[in-house]
Amino acid sequence: MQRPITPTSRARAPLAAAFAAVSLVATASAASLPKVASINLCADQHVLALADPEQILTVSWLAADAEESLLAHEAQRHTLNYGTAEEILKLAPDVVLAGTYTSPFTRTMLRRLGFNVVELEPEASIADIERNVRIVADVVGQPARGERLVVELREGVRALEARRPARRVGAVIVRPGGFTVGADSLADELLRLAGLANVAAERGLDRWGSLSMEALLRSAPDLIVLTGYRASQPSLANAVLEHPALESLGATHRTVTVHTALWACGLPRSIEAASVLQQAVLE
Amino acid sequence: MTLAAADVEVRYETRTAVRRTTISLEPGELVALVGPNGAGKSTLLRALAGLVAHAGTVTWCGHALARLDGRTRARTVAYLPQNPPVHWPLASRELVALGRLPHRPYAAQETPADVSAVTVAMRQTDTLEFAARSVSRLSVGERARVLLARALAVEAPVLLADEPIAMLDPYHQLDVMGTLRSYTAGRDTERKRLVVVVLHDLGLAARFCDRVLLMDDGAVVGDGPPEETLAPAAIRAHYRVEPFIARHDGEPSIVPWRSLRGPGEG
Amino acid sequence: MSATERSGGSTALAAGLGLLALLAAAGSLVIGRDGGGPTFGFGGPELAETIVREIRLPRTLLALLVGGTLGLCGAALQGLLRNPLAEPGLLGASSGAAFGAVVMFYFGFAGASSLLLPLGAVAGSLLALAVLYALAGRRGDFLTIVLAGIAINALAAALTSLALNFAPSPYAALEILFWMLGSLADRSLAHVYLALPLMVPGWLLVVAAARGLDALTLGEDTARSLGFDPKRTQALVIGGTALAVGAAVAVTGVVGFIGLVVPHLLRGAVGQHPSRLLLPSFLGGALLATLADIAIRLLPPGPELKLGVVTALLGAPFFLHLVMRSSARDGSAP
Repeated sequence: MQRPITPTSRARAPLAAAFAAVSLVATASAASLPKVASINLCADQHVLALADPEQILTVSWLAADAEESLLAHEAQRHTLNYGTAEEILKLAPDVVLAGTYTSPFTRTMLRRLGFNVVELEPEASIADIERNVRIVADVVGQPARGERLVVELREGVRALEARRPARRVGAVIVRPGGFTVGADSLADELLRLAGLANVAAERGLDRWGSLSMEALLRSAPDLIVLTGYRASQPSLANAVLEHPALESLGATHRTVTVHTALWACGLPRSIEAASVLQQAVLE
Repeated sequence: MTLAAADVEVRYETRTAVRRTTISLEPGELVALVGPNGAGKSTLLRALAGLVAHAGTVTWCGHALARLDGRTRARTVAYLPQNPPVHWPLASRELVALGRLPHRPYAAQETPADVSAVTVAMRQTDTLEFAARSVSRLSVGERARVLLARALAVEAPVLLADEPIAMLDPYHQLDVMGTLRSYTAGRDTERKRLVVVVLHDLGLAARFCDRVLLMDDGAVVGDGPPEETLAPAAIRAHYRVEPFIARHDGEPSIVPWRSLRGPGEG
Repeated sequence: MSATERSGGSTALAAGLGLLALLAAAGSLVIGRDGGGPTFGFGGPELAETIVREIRLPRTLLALLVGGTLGLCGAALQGLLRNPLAEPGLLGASSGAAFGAVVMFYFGFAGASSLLLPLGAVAGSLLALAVLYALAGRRGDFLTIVLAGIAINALAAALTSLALNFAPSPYAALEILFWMLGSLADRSLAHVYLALPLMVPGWLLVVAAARGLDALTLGEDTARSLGFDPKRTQALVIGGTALAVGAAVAVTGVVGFIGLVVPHLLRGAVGQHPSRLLLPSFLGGALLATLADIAIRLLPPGPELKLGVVTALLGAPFFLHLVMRSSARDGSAP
């Protein structure tokens, strides 16, 4: 970014030279920023948040879907890929971002073709979010931006911690299909950050077990957290969320809906889920 | 060259199907294997073919059949089971050609000898006219003749056939018995052949066969020319029927006339 | 029609199918993901050459090899079991291989190297075979074998579901499920080199059983009287199938219907001979798999359709049509 220069006749030549020098440096550093391709939804969103738009060659098609991604609007500006090596090969990125569960065939093929493939582990905690943000920021050559996001994340965490309710509030997360969330997961940490107790975790469920309707009723939670996902499309999974037992509970208990896209991937914005939960309790 | 069974016995868990049997059969003989139901005829035949586990030994020309390798044994003894299944609807000619498998080394094409054997076998069984027709389109009798042609096509010195004429009309029953007769004589080759055929028609057995083995309850109870083995007393004792025996054109005609009931029956 | 004319006919059939398979393979090298793409890049730009050599060539080769394996083993199994409804999946080779691969996913091995996945699948296929022999025993008749295969399929499916239930994460479960649908996407030449040493011996074992299959047309007794041991024929076909199909599933996941439909289509053209059906079924299977894979690439852009899905979509209605036509025609049971 150039600052406006007011040329006086005497200063024109050196200023012009300085101008040229600055713009040369600027374009040189822009040219040295790596071109990035991403074939994993969570990696996509990190990349969209951290890289300059010119750096992004492609993100996966899921990133452009508002039901999956918080940055769907931004993603639609870029070429979308479907996760095959041939697509990536044609775009010739400097680095490819993937998840550890992206098709092993595609990851191996890309490495075989000589690409630098960086894999992100799924985020299971806020610390994981920070780690992945730093990794991606480093990879796309924007460390300063990464640090800024981490700082904002920590400020948000501190704010939430400060506003925790005094009394114990038990909550249960109900995901489509009747699943809940146990301890050792991102959603659990966000729940606790909001100051709630995860009733399902207290029953010893690890990561993604099922919670029967009966167990849910007996656990007598103060807050029922419903996870929204494609609510307009009929599905067996979503039908669980309309179970009469849940509805009757809803009459006597407080419920709140958090959209899947907030915490399916661990992103700095994921703490908004915690603040939604906290709002629901503090009212 | 003898097909000899020495002390052959076939025992199943619950019963003995064939009791200790020792017989000796020579090429040139058309042997009828007769007896009431359950006598063990099919089992004895299968033992001679090496298809059922048995005590004792079966030898051909002094060599134990069990010790021969598969292909040699297959070229020596041809076997036609009773009412065999046909799993794929091959053309009749192709089915008969399966009989040449023991003669063909792996992946070899058909030789002129194979072609001629198949043609002769089909002519002998009067099946040439539907050589190209699928077996699934044949009547039961036509199919039975094609299956017999398959066994004849092996051109083995020993042919063991289990009720090959049961499904045939009278014309073809007579025709096939005549074919088997000439098969034992060895057609245009010097070699004679042995044919053992399980039959229920005593009349045909008596007229066409040189030798009759009568079995009852797992044992061979009669062995000799038809007049002896199929004497009225033997028929009464083992078949429990009263035969009507006549002669026509110098040949015997045996017709089961009346079933006999024992003292405690009927 | 004499026998030489008939076998000449099936040679012509094999030649025709072989030619078509080669043409399909050539097309497969040319057609890209979005329906177009670099044409024969040999000598062309470096990118095109890389795409063809590293991505499309293995994919084409695998389509031919896997399709051929499934066609060949399907024909052999139908001949062995004397039933046109038999196919490689029946023995449990496919589901055993799938389970072996799932175990690799479950323990996270698949992430380390995409070659561990196929090795796990081959181990699973051979394990299924070992269990089959243990169940059916050395004296097993064909019905026992079929029942044992059904039991193994059920067991493998149950164990796979169990593994999915306890998968480390929903992402792993999804990856497993998608893998099981069958796909050739992004397979490399390394997978071809992995599968071939197992496939080729498998093919040879199966082909060695050819004449025994012909003899079995008239049942076990007649087959034995013709000098063929049905147990040996059985061992050759089952062993060969387990090896070859296990290797195929290891690399591509579960691809169905080719082993069922291709022999069925070609049987009439070879005069119903089980032995003459083997080579045409190999070539026909190779052709069908390649065409199915090309069809996938001609679809509009989107997440790639799985190969197993396409073969099922093509195969199932066609098979239904065959069944209805044959039962309407003369009522003779297959």
